[in-house]
Amino acid sequence: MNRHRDLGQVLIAAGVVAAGLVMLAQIPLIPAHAGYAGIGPRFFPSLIALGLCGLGILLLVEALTRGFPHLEPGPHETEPADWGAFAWVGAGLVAQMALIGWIGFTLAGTLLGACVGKALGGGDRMPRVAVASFLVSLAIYQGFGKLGVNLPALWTGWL
Amino acid sequence: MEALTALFESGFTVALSPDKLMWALLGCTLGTAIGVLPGVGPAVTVALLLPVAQSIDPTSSLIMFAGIYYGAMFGGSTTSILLNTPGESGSIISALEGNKMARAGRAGPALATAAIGSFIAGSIATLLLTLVAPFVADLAIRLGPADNFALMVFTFVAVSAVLGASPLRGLTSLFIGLAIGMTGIEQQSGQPRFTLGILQLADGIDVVVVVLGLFAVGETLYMAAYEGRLKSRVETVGSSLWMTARDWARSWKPWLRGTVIGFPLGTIPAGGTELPTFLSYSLERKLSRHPEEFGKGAIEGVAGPEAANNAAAAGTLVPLLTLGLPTSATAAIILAAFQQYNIQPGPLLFDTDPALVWGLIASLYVGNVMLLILNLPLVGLWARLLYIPRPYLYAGIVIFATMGAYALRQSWFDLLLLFLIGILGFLMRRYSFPVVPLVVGLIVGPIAETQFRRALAISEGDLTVFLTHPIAATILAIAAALVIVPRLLYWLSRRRSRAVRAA
Repeated sequence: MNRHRDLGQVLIAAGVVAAGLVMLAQIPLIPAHAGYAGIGPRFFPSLIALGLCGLGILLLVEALTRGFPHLEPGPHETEPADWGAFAWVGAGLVAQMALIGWIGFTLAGTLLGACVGKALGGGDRMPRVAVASFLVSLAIYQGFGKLGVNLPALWTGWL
Repeated sequence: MEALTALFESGFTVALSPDKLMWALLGCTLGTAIGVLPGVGPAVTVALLLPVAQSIDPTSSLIMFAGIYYGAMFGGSTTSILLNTPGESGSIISALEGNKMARAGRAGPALATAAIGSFIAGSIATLLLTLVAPFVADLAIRLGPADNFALMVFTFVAVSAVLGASPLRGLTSLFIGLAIGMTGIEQQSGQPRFTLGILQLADGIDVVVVVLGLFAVGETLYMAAYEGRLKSRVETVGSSLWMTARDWARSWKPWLRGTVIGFPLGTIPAGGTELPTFLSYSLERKLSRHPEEFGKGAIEGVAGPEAANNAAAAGTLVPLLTLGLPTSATAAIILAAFQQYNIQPGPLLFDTDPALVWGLIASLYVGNVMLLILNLPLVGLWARLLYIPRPYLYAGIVIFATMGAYALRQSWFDLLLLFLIGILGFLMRRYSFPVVPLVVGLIVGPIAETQFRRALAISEGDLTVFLTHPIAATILAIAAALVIVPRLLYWLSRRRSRAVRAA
């Protein structure tokens, strides 16, 4: 079994350990007046933080020795990762969270949909996906708005 | 028999009223549609509708959610058969035989055996639910906090360590869920935990954001990174849905066997609808008189697993309604819906709100009939959903997801959480971490903590309470055995084979 070490697995395992450590570091910040039974609000978080550290270390051992066992098959085994497309989806989400308060849900949603369209369908598909996204966002704003869901608007009641 | 009286007296009166019928039909239609669409499942759909549900009465919205849950099981098979990509995780196995049948021009009978099998299994399993649930509720009412805590530990172990390829990854997923669940103001002491000084985290991280992030955004990121350029092939439904006499003869036994496998496995907290379909498939392959057809389009391989996943879906409602314990992602989010209305599912619910419980159960019978009608003659219509090009489909999914997250409290911060949890979901998918333990841990974790502290308050801080209470001790022992025994067997068999090799 001379598989090359998967850097991603090592980083994920390290991330789990780090998350556990960050939680442990936070525990002294929880005000600790112990409850009636001597078990305060720190007890469970401590268990979970220690658990995450322990699990992370075991994952790290796996990642550094034989690699994670029994991985599910999927297209990630054969296809090279398209990080550009990944970034387009991320950019759409970031743009939407930055702009939703300014330009309203419908237009921010259109922008997001266009970015996802660019990620999955390429530049040629993007304009048509943008139009469809506009219609879907508008329908959500109008439809869910009537059902009592409060969404921000550029032009209240319309967009 | 008391159960049947309650079902007919209060249940069907509620379920057959015009407005409840409308909610059931809406749920079944939506459920079928999202079951057919790859990339959206019932958990995401229910999560999206939670903010809307606040303006509807609890019974109506729960009837709709149950319709979505059942409907997704029906619709998922259509995608498996025609697209070879499961529309929903309980349909993975039907893709094996069903898609082969479709390629051989027998999509019609495959779809028919899936729909009729789902209907029969769903109906029998709902009847079993009717009979078993009050009985379990009677038992559950005698459980104290220590026993309840033990049951939750058992659930945690079962969903994370028993199922899936790696117990270690399952447990990691569970602990991440527990950690997310701890974030925010703790209910009993009112102390903030893990808020990192961020005001928005004081309210905790909403389960809606987690489910939408993991399933909708995570899936889209994965699709963008790895599948954007892959082409998929949709098989046509063909002209005839008729099953020949031979198809019927080969289908009815797998339907019944699938039901028998699915229901009990759904009731125990062993993680929802996937395991029973795998078991049903391998059983049918062993029992079949045509084992050579397996892998080339054997109808038994569609009939059995499709029955099993519907029976299991009904089964998961037993612990949900009687113990308040979710064992699948969808059940977990339905529990969140109950919590939103301040309704605590559990043994008392059968006494305090019989109209809701029995109305919900009765609506499942009604929903099954609706689903059979919606799915068989209209399957061609549903199949058209498969032709929606991926860029449009995923753009829509993500826009809906951001609506669901933003609607919670009109804050961009939830959109940030949605994105971050989406990246987590992407990584979990990429490295084969199961997500169900995370969702179950997130929802059940805080309840478990409350039960734990209540148990210790009663015992005045004596930790041995979990070992001296016979029920709690038994459940914890079984949970421990679930982790230890398989490992022990593995270790023994390895030692034996090493000894053989040495000899």
